[in-house]
Amino acid sequence: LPFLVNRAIFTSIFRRVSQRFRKNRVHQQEVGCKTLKYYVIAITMISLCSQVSLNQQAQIKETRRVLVINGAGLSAPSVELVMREIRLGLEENSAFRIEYYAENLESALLPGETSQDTVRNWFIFKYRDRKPDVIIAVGPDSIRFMAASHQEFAPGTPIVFCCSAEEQADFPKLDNQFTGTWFKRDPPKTVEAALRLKPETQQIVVVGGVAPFDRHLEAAVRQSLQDYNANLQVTYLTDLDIATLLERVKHLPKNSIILFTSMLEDSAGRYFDANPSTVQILSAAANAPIFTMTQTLVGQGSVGGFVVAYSGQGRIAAGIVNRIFSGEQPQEIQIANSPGIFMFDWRAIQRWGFKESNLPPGSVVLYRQPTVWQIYKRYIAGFVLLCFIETLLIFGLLWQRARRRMVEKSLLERLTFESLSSELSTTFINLPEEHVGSNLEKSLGRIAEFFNLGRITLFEISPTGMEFTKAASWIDEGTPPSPEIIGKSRFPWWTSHALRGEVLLIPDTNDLPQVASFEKEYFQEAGIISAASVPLAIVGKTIGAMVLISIKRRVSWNEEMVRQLRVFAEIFSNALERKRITKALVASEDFKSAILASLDTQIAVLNKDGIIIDVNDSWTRSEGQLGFATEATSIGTDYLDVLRRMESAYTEAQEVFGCIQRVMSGLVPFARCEYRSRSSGHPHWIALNVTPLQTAEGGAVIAYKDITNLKNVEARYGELIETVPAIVWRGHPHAFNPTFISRRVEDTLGYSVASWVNQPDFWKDHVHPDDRDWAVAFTRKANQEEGKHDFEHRMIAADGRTVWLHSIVNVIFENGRPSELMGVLVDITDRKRTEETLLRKDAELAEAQRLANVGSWCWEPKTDTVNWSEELYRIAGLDPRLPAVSYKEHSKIYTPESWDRLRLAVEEALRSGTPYELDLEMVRTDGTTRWVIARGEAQPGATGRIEQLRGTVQDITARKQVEQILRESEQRFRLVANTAPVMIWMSGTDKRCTYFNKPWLDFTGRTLEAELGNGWEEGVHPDDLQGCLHIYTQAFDLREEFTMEYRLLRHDGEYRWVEDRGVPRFNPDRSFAGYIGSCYDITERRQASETLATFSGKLIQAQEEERRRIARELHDDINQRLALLAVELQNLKRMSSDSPAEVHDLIEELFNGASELSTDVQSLSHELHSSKLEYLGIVAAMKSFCHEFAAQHGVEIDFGHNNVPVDLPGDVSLCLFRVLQESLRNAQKYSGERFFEVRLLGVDSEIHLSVQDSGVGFDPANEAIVNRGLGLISMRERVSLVKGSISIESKQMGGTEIMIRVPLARDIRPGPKKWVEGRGEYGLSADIAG
Amino acid sequence: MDYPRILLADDRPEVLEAIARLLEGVFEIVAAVEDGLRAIEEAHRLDPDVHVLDISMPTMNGLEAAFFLKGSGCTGRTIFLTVHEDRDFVEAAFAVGALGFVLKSHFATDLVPAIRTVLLGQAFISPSLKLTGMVSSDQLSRNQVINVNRGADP
Repeated sequence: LPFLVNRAIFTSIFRRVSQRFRKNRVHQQEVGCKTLKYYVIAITMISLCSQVSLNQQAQIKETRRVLVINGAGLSAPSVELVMREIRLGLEENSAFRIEYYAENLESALLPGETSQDTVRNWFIFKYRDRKPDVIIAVGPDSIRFMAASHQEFAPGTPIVFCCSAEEQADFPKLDNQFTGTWFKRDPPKTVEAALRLKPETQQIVVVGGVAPFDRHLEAAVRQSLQDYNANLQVTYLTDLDIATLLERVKHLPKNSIILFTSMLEDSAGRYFDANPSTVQILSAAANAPIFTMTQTLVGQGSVGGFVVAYSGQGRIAAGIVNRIFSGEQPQEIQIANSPGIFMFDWRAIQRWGFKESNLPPGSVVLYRQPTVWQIYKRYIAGFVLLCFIETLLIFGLLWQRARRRMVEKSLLERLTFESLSSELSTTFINLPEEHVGSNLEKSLGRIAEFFNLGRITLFEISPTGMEFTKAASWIDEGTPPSPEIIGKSRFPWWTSHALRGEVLLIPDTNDLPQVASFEKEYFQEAGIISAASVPLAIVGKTIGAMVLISIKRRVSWNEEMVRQLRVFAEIFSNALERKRITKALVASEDFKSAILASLDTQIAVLNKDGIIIDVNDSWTRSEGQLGFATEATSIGTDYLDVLRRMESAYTEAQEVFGCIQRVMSGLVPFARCEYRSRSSGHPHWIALNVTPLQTAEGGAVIAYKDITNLKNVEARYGELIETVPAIVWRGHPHAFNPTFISRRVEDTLGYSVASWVNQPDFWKDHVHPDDRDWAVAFTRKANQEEGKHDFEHRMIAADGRTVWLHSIVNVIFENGRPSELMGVLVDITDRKRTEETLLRKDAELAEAQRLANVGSWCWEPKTDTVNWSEELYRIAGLDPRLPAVSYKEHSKIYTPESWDRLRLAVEEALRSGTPYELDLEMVRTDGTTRWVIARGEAQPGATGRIEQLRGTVQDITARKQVEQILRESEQRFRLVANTAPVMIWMSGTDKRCTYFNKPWLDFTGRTLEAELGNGWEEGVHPDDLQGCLHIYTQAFDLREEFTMEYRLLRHDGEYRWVEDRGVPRFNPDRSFAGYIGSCYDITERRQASETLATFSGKLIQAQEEERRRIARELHDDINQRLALLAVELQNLKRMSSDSPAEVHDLIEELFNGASELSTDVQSLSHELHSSKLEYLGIVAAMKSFCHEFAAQHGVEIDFGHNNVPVDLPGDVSLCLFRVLQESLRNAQKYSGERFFEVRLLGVDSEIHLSVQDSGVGFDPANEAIVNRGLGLISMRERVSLVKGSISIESKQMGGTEIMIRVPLARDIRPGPKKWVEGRGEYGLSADIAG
Repeated sequence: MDYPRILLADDRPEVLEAIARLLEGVFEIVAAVEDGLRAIEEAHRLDPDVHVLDISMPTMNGLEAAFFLKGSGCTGRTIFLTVHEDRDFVEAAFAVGALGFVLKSHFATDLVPAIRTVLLGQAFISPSLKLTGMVSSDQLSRNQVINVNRGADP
């Protein structure tokens, strides 16, 4: 590779140098010479390098000589093909430089033994100095030659052969230096292919020559065609000379095929150097297709066939040579067979009309000729595409032209429209109002012409706004005139739409809807085909409509047209509006002038320089005399100058000047001054208003008014006010002192007018202190609201009196803000006093009402007149028709004691006015007594002396009676409580104790006072107190009954257990009153039950102990001894083996007896005390028991357990086990069920055992059943021994569940872990099992 | 050749005596104790090949003793010699690591074969119990871990 690369570089550089040189020679010879010098140096260096590497290459690559010997000459096509392949094959792969030598045996030209020898000698001579490394023998002749000459010519040189069938080379004897590949000819395959292509074939003509090779092939064909003989006729034309043969093949029968083998020599002894040319001649002459078996013959006119392929032979040979070069021995290389291939000539297939689809699969078809379409398809497609594009182009251009014409047309129309519209616009802009009408008609005509319409009419909306009146119209010849007025009565549909400012487009009047029937009728009568209405509008307000009519043709009113019509409508709208506005303006000016002229105020307008630019008629009439116009002032006079000149004469002129200046300079928006003028002869009061002139230049409007009369009226008004019997005032809304107040205020309140007006907040400061806050707030608020407000308040007069005033204030608004207050203050003190009296009377009345059902009376001591109400008569049991009982007679209607008290109270009341209230006992005429409450109070008269007593008498007998009963009942209760053998207490609604009976106090030895409230808590045992209070409080809050036990300290210092039961108590009205409780000393009872519990527990324990002892005894002693006995018996049996059989049997019997006895003792022991419980734990014991129980009684027991602690204390285990035994026995006996469920569960720090059946159940409250057989009792006892609880849930027919819960003490001795796991499996616990 | 070394534990001296008589000349009795606690002490001290334990013993019963023997690393095999004929006891015995279960009433005939059997690492249950097949192979293999550590059998 480096060599090749160097060469390539060298070549390219050389080429470039020479090019440069040539160029430079022409243009820049000097420079060129210089460059050339560098190139030459570079080339020299590079070529030196190249040379070095070239030498290196030559040294590395070894040379191998390959001699290729072929039979035929190099000119033979097959030989040429093979040679090329050999060369390529060797060059591709060889690591050696290959030297080729090709030799030709010319066997076709030099046949015979002698010539072979000559050739061999020649070769030996020729290659004596360069012995080939490998000889390749190509073709049968070469192989034969080498087979014969190997030992002499090139002994030991490996021979690689190819391109021959073995039989073709006469099965040569090859030594072990030979290797290569043999052809395999297969004539039947060619015949097969021929029959596929031409199934109708009946005859096969085999054509061949007489040369040995020809004969050889013929023989092979003959042999293989034997199978076809039956169906096909086979003719051999193999012994003919070429001329005869050609003649024969011209006239072969129909349905023949020719199978050409080989013809190197004909019968006439003529040699043919190559078969291909022979086949060409034959195929040209033959009237049947020729099939062959050689690759080189395909393409020479023959159809083809299954041929030996020369291509590939060379490649195979080269491969073998390469293997030899790489060190393999020829004898190691297997001689290969080269199979043939199907190969056909397309042209021949076409010639004979064969179908390509009939070719055998995998066939190679040569010389395929493409069709015209295949050759020229790109040109044709290109041409068609070109045509298509050109067509498109033409159409595009045509469309473009049409479009342009349309655009031109529309542009023209637009231009016309725009010039028309602008012309119309300009016409109307500057047209004087009086010419507008005629111009409108003209313009309408132009538009009608533009649109080709018959009539255009402009309508304006009439002032009523309900109809349209004609403003202008243009009518073409032959078109009827338009109506003058369009109203709802005649054209309802059109009018209503047009009034709304809608565009109406009617391309065809026949298409009008039913609602437009009036319009339709009109259009048809007038012969109108199309119509349209475009609104005339100014700033969105419809002022009329433009109506367009066509009678000649139908107008479609397209969008463009409507747009243009709208433009015209706008122009006309503006024209009409201008006309209307001009009219209105003139009218308005006239109107305004008339108003100004009618005013008596003299008005002048000044420009910014003070020059009068306008005056009203009034000014003109009076020559401005009010405005200092001693000289004539009119338009053009410099008014400010006039004023300046007047200043010296009239001081008021200075004031006027100041007003005008202030307004004109923009300091104030309005100025007013009033002054007494002397300038016009007799004094006048004149008011001046100055307002700015609202123009761009500025200026002022000044208005003078003579207000002399007004001033006079004002003066008279002031006088009037003083006569009004009320205080009149005026003031500012934000101040608390009036600007004016009438003099009457001095009479009413005593303060001078001046102090009211001058002191700020005067009113506020003198309002009564009690009213001040609200009155000030009220006025502040009211002053912001327009209209009248009134309120009453008190003021402190100068002499300290309180004066009630009714204040009426009128708030006057100007410009939306309060500007002035006008008010009246009326003194209403007298009225107020009257009112107060009335109120007191009301109070009396109210009291009387309050005393309904209570008698009232009134007594005047002076006259001793007494008035009684009906009620009082009723209470006293007297007839109301009789006169009331006089004061003196009162002694008769009261008990003496009551009368005494009453008398004293009345005397006191008369003396000092002290009211009284007494409980008195009244004696009625029927002898009964009634309890009353008598109340009385003195009424002072006008003189201040007491003139009257009045009061009430209330019957309280019923209440007194109830009180009495209550008192008695309570006394009785206390008596009972104190004598009862139980301790009783009571508490109020506040939980504090209010009562303890005597037994309680005796028990505790304390006083009642010490115990009341929370004092009793001191006697409760400190350990029990919290619990007690908790129960008490909880029950109290819920109003529930409670029972509690606690220790109470007895008087002798001993704590006694008491049972305290409390119940809530209620008042007669069902309201809660507190608690009542009773206590018993239960110490003895408790001790008894505790003793009993301990006793029965001990009993059970003792029983268990005894059982265990007996069981142990039985098991450990008796049983062991029995076991030993059994052992001894066995020993005896063994020792007495030679005793008589009877003895032997006896011993056997004794042994069996002992064993049985042992078993029985063991089960007895087990029944008394479960050894499993002891050794295997509760789970195993229970499981086992359940199992045994089930088996014994024929029932099913489902035993389950979970989380059972392993170190369950022994007493707990035993208790649970016994309970289980008892429960199951009960269940089996009474439930009537056959299925029971037993569960033993560890739950938190408790262990639960439940025994359940679904049997008949029973009533747990039924003592008789519960105590059945003492079973349940003993269960309870056992469970209570281990501080557990037992619950029995049973329902009639609902099954029974016995549930035992036993708490496990936290301090269970941790101890060594038991070997039995709690889960009841007999597995080891995890840490040991591992 | 050494005799296999046996530890006996039974709270009844006459039983111990009877066993000793039976095994004399066949095995070497290294210790004969009367409760489980003593059995553990002696086993640790003497490392016998086989422990023959009664179940019902004061202070510490046989099952507990066997459990501790196994848990504390003693490699000797355990045989229970007991009057308990119940299947539960057999299960319990194997659960705590025993390899043999012999009924006292049959020890004259069963004990020697039982010791020989367990020395071979196989389970033995008195044939009169008819429970021979009850020990699971899994259970047995667990109990036999001892064998591997102990080396060659006598």
